[in-house]
Amino acid sequence: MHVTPNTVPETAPAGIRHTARDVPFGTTSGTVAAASFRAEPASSGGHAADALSHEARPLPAGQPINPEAVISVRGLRKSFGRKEILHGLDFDIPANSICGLLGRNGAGKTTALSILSGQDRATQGEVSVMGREPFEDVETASHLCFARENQKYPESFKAGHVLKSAPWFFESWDQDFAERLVRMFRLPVETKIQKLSRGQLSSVAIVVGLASRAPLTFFDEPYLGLDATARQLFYDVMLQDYLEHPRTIVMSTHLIDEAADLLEKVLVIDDGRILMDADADSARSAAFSLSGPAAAVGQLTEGRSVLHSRRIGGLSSVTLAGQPDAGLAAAAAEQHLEIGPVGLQDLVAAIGSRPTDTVGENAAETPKESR
Amino acid sequence: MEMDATQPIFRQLALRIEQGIVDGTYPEETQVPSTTEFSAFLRINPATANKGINLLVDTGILYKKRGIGMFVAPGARQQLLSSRREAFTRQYIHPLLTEAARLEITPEDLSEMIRSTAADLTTTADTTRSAL
Repeated sequence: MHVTPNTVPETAPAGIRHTARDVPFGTTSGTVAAASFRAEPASSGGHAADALSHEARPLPAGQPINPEAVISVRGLRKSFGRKEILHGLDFDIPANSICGLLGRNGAGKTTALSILSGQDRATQGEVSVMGREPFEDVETASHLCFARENQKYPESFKAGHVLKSAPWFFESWDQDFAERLVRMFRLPVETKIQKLSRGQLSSVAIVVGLASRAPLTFFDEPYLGLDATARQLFYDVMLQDYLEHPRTIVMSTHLIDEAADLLEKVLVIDDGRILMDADADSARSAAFSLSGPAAAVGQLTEGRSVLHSRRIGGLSSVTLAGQPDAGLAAAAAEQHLEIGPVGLQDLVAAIGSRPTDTVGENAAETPKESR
Repeated sequence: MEMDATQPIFRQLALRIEQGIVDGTYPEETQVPSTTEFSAFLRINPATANKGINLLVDTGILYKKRGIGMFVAPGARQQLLSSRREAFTRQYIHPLLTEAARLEITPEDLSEMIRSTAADLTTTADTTRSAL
């Protein structure tokens, strides 16, 4: 999912995602052509993540494995042939938390989960899952459930077969709960897996993921093909079951706003790198927006870390790292500029919206030691 | 339940419980919902809910009865009222005076406007009551 040089479309979705609160300066009609929004790359040099506050930055490289964490990863690299997909990940996931692995398609979320679940081997680096090296480790596998919509099953399998065989693999499998979930998600158990729709395949993954009650459960984009009602049902039943049976849940998603409030920890991954590693509360206050006449905005943001900016006519809106200090707030009030919150979804879009080529260039320019 | 993005969620939960104490939803010496109940009802992570409740334990608004749950402390309502009255000047009076100055309304005009608006509201309320 790489763009050729000099194409902008990769940045466009973030730039034109304008909700009411994103466009505070009177562009109320929908007549403004989307094309007139110009997404600009961050003006600060180096990696966008460097601008984030201390609490939101990724772990520094070269630390030892953390034995307290249920998952601890150091310098994880993964290549397929010549192509490197993960460029050195360092992170910990605390036990019994719900952790969001956030990022765009192709960022490396599924590759990372495959390695953590022992289905794939790291090319380089250390991976500790429940204190063990997970690759093809039976002990790890018996405490882990990797729920994904594109799970492979034997050709003749029906959803009912999946549910009948699941207790063989998962010690804590709850059959009653599984049957309740089947009814909730209206899953046809007598239909061959091959004939199921994408949403129904997601439902199979959700039923297995939840009813397994595995101490470590991965959901890889569990919502694919599900409508809004079914997605909300999933979030509610996952939270309820987590409250009754605490365990570690890692969920990869790019529907961030829907899931943000459920998360305790947030990892943002983009182009095979961790860009943000924060508890959900810190992530929520990691950035703010400043909008108004372009000249005034430009003057106030001089020397500050701009994560993202966009312009329409003489107006400009920028996303800045951190929280507004008193001086900036006073100056903004005086010049009638608007300061607004930046939700997790917008923040992830802001730090992940640059074309991959730009990221690559910056990475090449920045010496390893300084990051 | 919708949470707004401007404030950490744990702080919003704390504010919500405080509001409940002020308006009488949670009288003093009664139990408030548990972390688990708030988490499931508001659809928020339980660690976040716990943080919000602990914020109120730290300020002496809630206290823990071991093995039972969280209770509203005696005197909590009065404590909240006085701290909110202190904040009232900053939160409401200052912006009111700033906007009034912009519109060239003097403080004297302003207090007259407040007095007559309050009188109108009272009359409306009385009329509504007698109509019922």
